[in-house]
Amino acid sequence: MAYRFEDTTMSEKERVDRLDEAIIEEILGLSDSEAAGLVGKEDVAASRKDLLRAKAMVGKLRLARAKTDVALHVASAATARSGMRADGQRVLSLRKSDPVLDKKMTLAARSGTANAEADAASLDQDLAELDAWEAEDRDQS
Amino acid sequence: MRSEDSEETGPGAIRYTAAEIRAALDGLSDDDHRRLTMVARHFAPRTNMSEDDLRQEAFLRVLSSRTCKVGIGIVEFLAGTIRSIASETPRSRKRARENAGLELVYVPEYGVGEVQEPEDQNTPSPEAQALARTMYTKEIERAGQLVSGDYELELLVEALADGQRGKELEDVLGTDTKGLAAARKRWIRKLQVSFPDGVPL
Repeated sequence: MAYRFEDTTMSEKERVDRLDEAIIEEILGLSDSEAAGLVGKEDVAASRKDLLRAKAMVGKLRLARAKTDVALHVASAATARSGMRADGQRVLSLRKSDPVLDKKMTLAARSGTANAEADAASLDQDLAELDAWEAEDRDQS
Repeated sequence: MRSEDSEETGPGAIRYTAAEIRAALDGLSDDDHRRLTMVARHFAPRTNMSEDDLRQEAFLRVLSSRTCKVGIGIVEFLAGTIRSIASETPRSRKRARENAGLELVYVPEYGVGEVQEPEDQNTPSPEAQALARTMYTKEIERAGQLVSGDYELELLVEALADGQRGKELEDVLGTDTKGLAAARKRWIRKLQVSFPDGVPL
């Protein structure tokens, strides 16, 4: 009985998959004029807006992650007293501009729970990525 | 931040960089956006998401968690992403979002209080299997409703679902290559024009 249940499900999945493939193939194969005849300018504007929103959300997430990495890294550096000298000004600047981050970093430093080695490379990478995203956004605005 | 959840997996596959993907997204033409809108419009009812939300979710995943093999067009990749999102159960959709780092959540220690241990994410639960079966059954119904009353399109959808292509399809419909192309275009047009908000169930 269990076998038949699975078999039926698979068969229906295959049928849906085939229809999905055919629909996508057909839509992607439409000429520009055919596409323009089916979807209006308002939808194009809405799609472009969705893309901008998605980029902004990803940028914010990266910023949040970078800030978290900063907090963890600085906390670790404060307790281990080792190694880190890069980006000190940037970290300071971030702390000044964000009271919440500043508080978190202070608390994290007191608890001394972070891992400096693991986070140092990640921090540099995140800040570099963030710079690239911000530059890109500036270019587009 | 990026992970390998593309269907085009392969250890040696060369993939676009994040910067290349962003450039490709910036280069989408109005007609590319139209095609994406059509794909999102078709799949949105399956997800309980609006067309806008589904399209935005696809952009998010392409920017954050999915990787694209070199040689795949960006529109094709986005269309595949939309389809992939639509094929997920609500639970796996949530999990995919979390795995992509799109939700920042605080998770207390597992096993303490009411916090459950993480599930085995590779084996579908009986509940997930039942949900999938319901979803596929509804989709077959939806495809039928779309063309209901139009004999040629009913035949086309049935034959496509059965896996028939090309000459076989022409034979089923009793037409030639040109006639088949016209029927397929009429099918897509019906979906987009007759049901601009998706085909209701």
